[in-house]
Amino acid sequence: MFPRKLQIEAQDMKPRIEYLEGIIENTADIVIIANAMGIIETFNRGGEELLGYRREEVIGTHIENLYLDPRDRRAAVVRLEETGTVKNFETRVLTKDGQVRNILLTLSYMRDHEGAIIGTIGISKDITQEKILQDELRGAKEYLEGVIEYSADIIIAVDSEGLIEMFNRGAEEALGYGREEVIGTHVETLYLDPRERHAATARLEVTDDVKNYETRLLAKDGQVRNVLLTLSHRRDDEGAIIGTIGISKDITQEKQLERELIQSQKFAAIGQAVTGIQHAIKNMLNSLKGGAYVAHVGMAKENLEQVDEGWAMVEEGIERITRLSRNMLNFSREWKPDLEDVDLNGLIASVCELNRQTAADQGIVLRAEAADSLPPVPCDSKLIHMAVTDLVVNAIDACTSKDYPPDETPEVVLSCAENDGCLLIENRDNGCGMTEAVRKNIFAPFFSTKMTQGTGLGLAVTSRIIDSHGGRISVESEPDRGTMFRIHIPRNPSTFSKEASDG
Amino acid sequence: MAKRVLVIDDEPNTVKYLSVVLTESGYEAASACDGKEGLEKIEETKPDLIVLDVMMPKKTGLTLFKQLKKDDQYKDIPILMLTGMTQVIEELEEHKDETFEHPYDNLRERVKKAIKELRDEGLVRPDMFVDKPVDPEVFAAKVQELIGS
Repeated sequence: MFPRKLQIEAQDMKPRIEYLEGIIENTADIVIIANAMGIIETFNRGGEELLGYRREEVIGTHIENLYLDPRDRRAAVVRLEETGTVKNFETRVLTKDGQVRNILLTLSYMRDHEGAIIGTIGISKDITQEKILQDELRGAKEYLEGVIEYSADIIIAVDSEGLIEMFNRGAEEALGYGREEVIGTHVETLYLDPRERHAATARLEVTDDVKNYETRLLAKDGQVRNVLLTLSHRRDDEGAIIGTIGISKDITQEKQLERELIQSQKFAAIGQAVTGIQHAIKNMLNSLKGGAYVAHVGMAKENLEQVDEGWAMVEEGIERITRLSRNMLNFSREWKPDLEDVDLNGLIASVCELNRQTAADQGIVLRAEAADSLPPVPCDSKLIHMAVTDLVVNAIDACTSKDYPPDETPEVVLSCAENDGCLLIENRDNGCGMTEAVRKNIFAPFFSTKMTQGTGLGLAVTSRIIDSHGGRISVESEPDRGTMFRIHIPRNPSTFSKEASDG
Repeated sequence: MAKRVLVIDDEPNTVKYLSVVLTESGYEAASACDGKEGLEKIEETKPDLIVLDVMMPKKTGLTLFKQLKKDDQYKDIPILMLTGMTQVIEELEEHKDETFEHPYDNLRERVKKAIKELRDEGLVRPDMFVDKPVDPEVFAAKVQELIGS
């Protein structure tokens, strides 16, 4: 018989043991108690649920059988023997259906009243999901690091002081520095002009996003690299700014090509101009040479009429050279329109009046169609007069180059109108028209279809005059049907082009 | 009887000038201002030589040239081309085939192509061309070379 005191103690213990057993049974963790031989004695519900065994299947079997690799269990036990406790030992167990579960094992000894070891109690937390997530995160991190590292772009991260923290391989290759040389130095030292970095960061403060900012970096060997910089803030978990990260695309080669292209376009333009001038001069020389010859022959024969003819040819040559010289000057000068209030109806009437006789001599009807009511228009009357005259003269030429059927009269009509604050001057003819190929080139300097007569600068000058008024000129044409030129000029000078408003 | 030369050019000063050179050299000169009128004048005057400008409106000199060379009635009339195309001819002679990059592109290319075709047909010789500005002595000498005096 137990002494009474012990009986009371035993009775007091009972509910406590039940309480502890309840905890063991109901915890979500796997709790397994094994005896000193490693034979399973207790296997809780958590174990059943996570490993798929019923407890009667595993109680009495060796605990090592539950491990994917039994050596893991032995290692844990060795550690337990050495340190007296094993906490969060990461290992893998097998479920009944063969799946691997990652667990964190906490292992301790079971002791009897005297403190002798009678077995182990293992509490395991299933971390399979966490493990998967962790692996995915690590993979994503490595992937991103790889992307940054192996990107051909220059990627540099700096702290809030501007000191370089990260410098990728693209940066090493483009700038010639090893990362160990630049990490910890100020990023501004990589800029050709540090003010460009200031400007980019200032813009970042305002817009929070700087894209394709064109700037220049300085490579270790002193070469300038043109880059397009995309700059963004680096933030910590709370969203506080901890620096910037810049991704720069090296466009040095593109810039070089661009410069070369501009250069070659300049040369092409000069070549084009020289060819055009040479062509024009050759024809004028022919006139002068021919005139001098005819006059000379006339003088030798004392034929005054022939001398006159020769002189007229010389004078015409001089006139053409004068015109070419004037047009070249007109073309190359910077047009600054002298704006005044101009009566456009009056202007087009005057242009028609001045050319009516020339047109009539060729059997061409030239007329002006005035707008109903047109308040004065701010423009440079001399320049617009010149531009419109050029169109009319061209139209007359187009009419003389066409064989008209008996029922059609050669006609040139110059008109003006106003539409939504935009002045419209139209000049249409029913002359020879143009092919698409010609139409595309007519505003190009030194382009001419007039063989020996034109300088190839008329429409080029006209188009520049209209540009200087902030307007535009367009053309529609059909071979043998005619041509229509349209000039649009904005009434409001504030919409004028820069060239115009600067004047 | 003097030999007849027909000058076809859209440029009146050139026509006048060359007519005087021809008259002074003992030829009878006739003229036309474009290819269309030129054809009429050929029928009318039956010239011994045609002086033909290449770049003319309405019908280019080369179009007329080809037309004449294909016409049994006119194919034997010698033609002197009045053109600044010497460069083009030289290049064709050297079998170069570079493109010209300037505003006369289209016209030049057309002329160049036409000349090449004619050359391939054996109808064009380099000495059939006289460049502007035309020197009176050179012009008279070419005419004489082609039809005698």
